[in-house]
Amino acid sequence: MSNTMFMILLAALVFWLVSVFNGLVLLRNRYRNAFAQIDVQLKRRHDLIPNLIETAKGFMAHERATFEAVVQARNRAVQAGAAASAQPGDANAMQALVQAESALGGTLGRLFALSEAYPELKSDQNMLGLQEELGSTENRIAFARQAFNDEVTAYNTRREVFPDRLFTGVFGFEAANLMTATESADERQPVKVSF
Amino acid sequence: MSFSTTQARARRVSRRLILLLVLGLVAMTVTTVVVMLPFLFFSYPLVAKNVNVASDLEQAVFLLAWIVGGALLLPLLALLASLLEVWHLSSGGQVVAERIAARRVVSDVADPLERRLFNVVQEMSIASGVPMPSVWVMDAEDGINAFVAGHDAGDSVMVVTRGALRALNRDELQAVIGHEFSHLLNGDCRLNIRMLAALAGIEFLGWLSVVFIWPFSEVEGSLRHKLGFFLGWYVLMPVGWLFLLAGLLLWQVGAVGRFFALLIKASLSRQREFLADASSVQFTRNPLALAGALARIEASGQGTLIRHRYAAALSHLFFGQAVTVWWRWLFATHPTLRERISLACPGFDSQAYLRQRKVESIEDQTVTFA
Repeated sequence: MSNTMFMILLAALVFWLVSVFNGLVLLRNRYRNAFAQIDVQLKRRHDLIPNLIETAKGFMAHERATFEAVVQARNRAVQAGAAASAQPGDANAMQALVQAESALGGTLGRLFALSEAYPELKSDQNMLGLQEELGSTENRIAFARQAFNDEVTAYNTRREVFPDRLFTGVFGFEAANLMTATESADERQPVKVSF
Repeated sequence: MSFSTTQARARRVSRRLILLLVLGLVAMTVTTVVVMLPFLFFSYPLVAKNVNVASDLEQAVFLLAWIVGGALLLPLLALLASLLEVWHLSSGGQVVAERIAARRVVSDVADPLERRLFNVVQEMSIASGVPMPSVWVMDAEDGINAFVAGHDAGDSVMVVTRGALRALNRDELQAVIGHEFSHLLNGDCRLNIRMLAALAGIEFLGWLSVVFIWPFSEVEGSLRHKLGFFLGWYVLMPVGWLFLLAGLLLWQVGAVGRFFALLIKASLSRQREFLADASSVQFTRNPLALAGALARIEASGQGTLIRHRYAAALSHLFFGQAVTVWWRWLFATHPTLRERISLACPGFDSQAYLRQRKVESIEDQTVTFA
């Protein structure tokens, strides 16, 4: 009798462990997929930049240094993106990616600020279209980042609740990192608006 | 109040209303059966005259079959009418979009307004986690409105009026599209089909009562000819009076049922709109844009009405009230704009917003404020 009871308890334990393991795998794949969505949009942004420079060059030939800064920032962001998609959730890779992307955002912002001085460029159909595409891509990145953070939070919560947390270390599920705002000086500056 | 509180309340009220609708349908079915029973009982001798029965037992079995079969006949026919309506309505999203005279927008469209629409739909698809629907524009509609249709992710459609493309700025359009994504996410397309199917079943009873009262509405001919039918039916064959009585009773049940079903459908729809508004804010995290879109509609001359007559069947999937109704406070599919603005963004100042709202250069400036 006690033997049967023991077998039943053992089976229940194994069943529970399997469900914990599978639940964690599911959540881990979800946040990885959410990262893939960010990755798609970052690539889209990177692909739009050469077009932007081609269009802008014709109007603002004297801003060579700015164009070069944008190109360099873009190349660094492409590299950081490749490193991060190899191991999404890794703290260092995430940090590097966020920094590279915000640096790219900064140089793009400078480019757009300079373009204010070129009325023909501002009213160019091509440029307006590119601005819409870049703006939309920024939005998509923001929404995809929100979704990624939600998925990471769901995964981390499942990982940390009791009693599941007793086994997450054994199974080798490591904590994932949120994509938060960077600590860079640029982004901590209050936004200035001038007319 | 946060958007999650609003969502929870809208969901709770929706569940209660759906329960109410189901209870109403059950009550109607029971009442119909009760109305039919005396009619069947008293009409039995007329039928029995034409049937040869050998024994008392056979007679009893036949009576029972007549009553049970007759009583179940009407609910079954009403059910059939409902199913026919489901079959009719559940054509995919693309069919619906084409029927309402919309034009598909492709991903690499040149028109800047449509390009922006496509981008906004893609953004909201990411924010809501709902697969991307195909995007359509109703060129002939000046009202500021949008709707979604389709029962599965593969063929859902997002249809926007030309008026909305012209009148709204980017953020406001995003809020409207976010609202529509909530209808997709919360299964409102399916709910709409079910409610319309229930109504079709109830309306069938109303139609049937007319047939009972006067079965010869299809008869062609002169007045004398029709008078002949009338005399024959009500004077020479007394069974006509039985039919008339049952018809009047059925008509009563049908009319009362239809009234309450419409009432429940409208209040359920209004709850889904609150849910969709709250979800739109969840997706965009920008309550100002939603309140702004509503204020823009309020200030515009064109409003949210849709001219196409097919809009009535889809009215509760739109962003704003698409069809005019009697007794707004009872039968409107959408809450008033004021109500929605104050819930989305308490203390919102429409006048101040409209004075300083951002207008992008691609907006069509010919659209004027009323």
